[in-house]
Amino acid sequence: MSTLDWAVLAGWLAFIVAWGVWKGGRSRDSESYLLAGREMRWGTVTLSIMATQASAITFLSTPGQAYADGMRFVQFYFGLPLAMIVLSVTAVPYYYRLKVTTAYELLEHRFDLKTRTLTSALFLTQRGLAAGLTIYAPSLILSVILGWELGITIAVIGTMVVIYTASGGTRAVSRTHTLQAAVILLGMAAAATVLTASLPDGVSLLDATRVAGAAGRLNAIDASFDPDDRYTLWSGLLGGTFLMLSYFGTDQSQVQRYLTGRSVAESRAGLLVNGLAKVPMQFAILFLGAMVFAFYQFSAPPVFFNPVEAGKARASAVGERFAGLETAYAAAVAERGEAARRLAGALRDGGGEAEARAAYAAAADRADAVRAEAIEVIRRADPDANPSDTNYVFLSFVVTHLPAGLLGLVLAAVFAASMNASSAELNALAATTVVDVYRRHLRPHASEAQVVRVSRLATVAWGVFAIVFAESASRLGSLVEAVNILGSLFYGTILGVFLLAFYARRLSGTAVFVAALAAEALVVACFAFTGISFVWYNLIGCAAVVALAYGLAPVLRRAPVAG
Amino acid sequence: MTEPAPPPHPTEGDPPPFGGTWARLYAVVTGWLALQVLLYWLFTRAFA
Repeated sequence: MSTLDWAVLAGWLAFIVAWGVWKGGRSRDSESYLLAGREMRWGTVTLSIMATQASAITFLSTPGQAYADGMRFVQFYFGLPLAMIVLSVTAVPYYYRLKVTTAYELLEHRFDLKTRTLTSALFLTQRGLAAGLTIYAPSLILSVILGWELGITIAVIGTMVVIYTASGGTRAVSRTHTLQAAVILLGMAAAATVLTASLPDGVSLLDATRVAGAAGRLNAIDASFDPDDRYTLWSGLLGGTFLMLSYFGTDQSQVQRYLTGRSVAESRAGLLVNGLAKVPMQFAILFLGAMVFAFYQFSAPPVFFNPVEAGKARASAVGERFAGLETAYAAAVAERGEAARRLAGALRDGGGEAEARAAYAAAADRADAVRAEAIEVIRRADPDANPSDTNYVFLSFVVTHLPAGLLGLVLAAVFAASMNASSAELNALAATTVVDVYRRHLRPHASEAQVVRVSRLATVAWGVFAIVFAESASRLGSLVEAVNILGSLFYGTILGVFLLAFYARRLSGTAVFVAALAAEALVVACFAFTGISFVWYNLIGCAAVVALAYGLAPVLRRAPVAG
Repeated sequence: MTEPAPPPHPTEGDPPPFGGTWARLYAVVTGWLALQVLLYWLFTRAFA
């Protein structure tokens, strides 16, 4: 990194912390600190919702996903606009009617205290661990590509987020989200511009697009009904709606964003504009990844994009074999590059297309075979090495090809995205800790000043927990997957409880509480005693809560509730 | 607690800050999604 890049990155980070502290102001009451005084307009609500969902991993992994697997991942988001409409009609007015600060308060009103406490505890467990991962994952990628010390990268991101989130609360989070979104947009636009300009002479953007399409990377829509295929039009519209409803409707890190709206109308509009903007944004990021793929069809990529693992292989007992494969790969991709140029010409001019396609496919197969062999050698050198390098593709391109200054801007965008997601998580964890635990169970008569003070302390405490967990995750690699599984263990149960709160009119709190406990036990049993993939736990947990609550209702009958 | 839901929030019936009515906004979001699916399908077909 050049001095200019460091100056851009450091300058931006210093500015955003100062801006967050300044814009956060001095909150004197809990509504001001935890909900920004409910004074945000729809534009700020939209940007804050989008910034919370789009963590650094979105901008680092999604292009890599398109590079390796094409653009079909965009279908995963097709349920989001539909979920925004459903939540605008149902959840938003419900939350406003009750004037809640956290989503879990609604459950006490609708059911009882124990149901509220159970779901808030599940949220704190799940989101508390996820907050560590939100810092850890991009830090790992940045440290691998740039050679930075992982522990320091984690500490820098975590500390900066804690400073402005604890100082200014939700207002600081929302205000920094809007500014950070602009930097992310600029960073991605800079990367796209340099990518287009870096295409070899005689290859236009349209040529590159055609080659990416011929290689199967522009497969945005798959209308097949294959249940084994994770990303199809139907899984996006059905499963995606389900998933987005649970995330935006019951996860406090999102609920708190739209509860900052100055009215029901502003909150609803914020959600709906998110529904308009999210899918095109994901399409653009995936298209960027597909263009990185096209770029590397004409230029030589490394045999493996994770330089740390490649370095380990070079220095190992099988280093000579790996070096030989690197040489063979360079020759294979040079051949592939020639074939790609001929294919681009054929697709542009329309002559000899079939032959050009066949030659390109054969050259690509040869290069892929050498790469697969190199990955095997990497695994032999380090059995714990991750054979997937998709997370490193985009940042590797950025570091290698962006000029001084713009690299700093893109890295600032990556930091911005990481800080956006982390700040929203810490803010939500603090709100739930204070509203659902401290003020509900420990100090019901705490003054507003005390609540604000404890909220700040809770933000710092969760921030420290996230940093410490992120530092530990670097030494306990398998724990990362364990946390993902842990999240899936809880999310379905929480969604089931909220679905009943919104739509079931005649269920008692005790029936729902017992159903939630039993459903949770069922999900844990699936995890412990069956081979069912954890991606199904959300559906199993949610369905079990609903079915068991209705099944138990006649046994545990109480006074019906009008909902 | 099991008590009836509170009365509607005073601002619940407010019109949207843009777009005229909520029904029209919901239609725009749904229509925009449908249009995108169509455009992405054409995009996939064009470059496959």
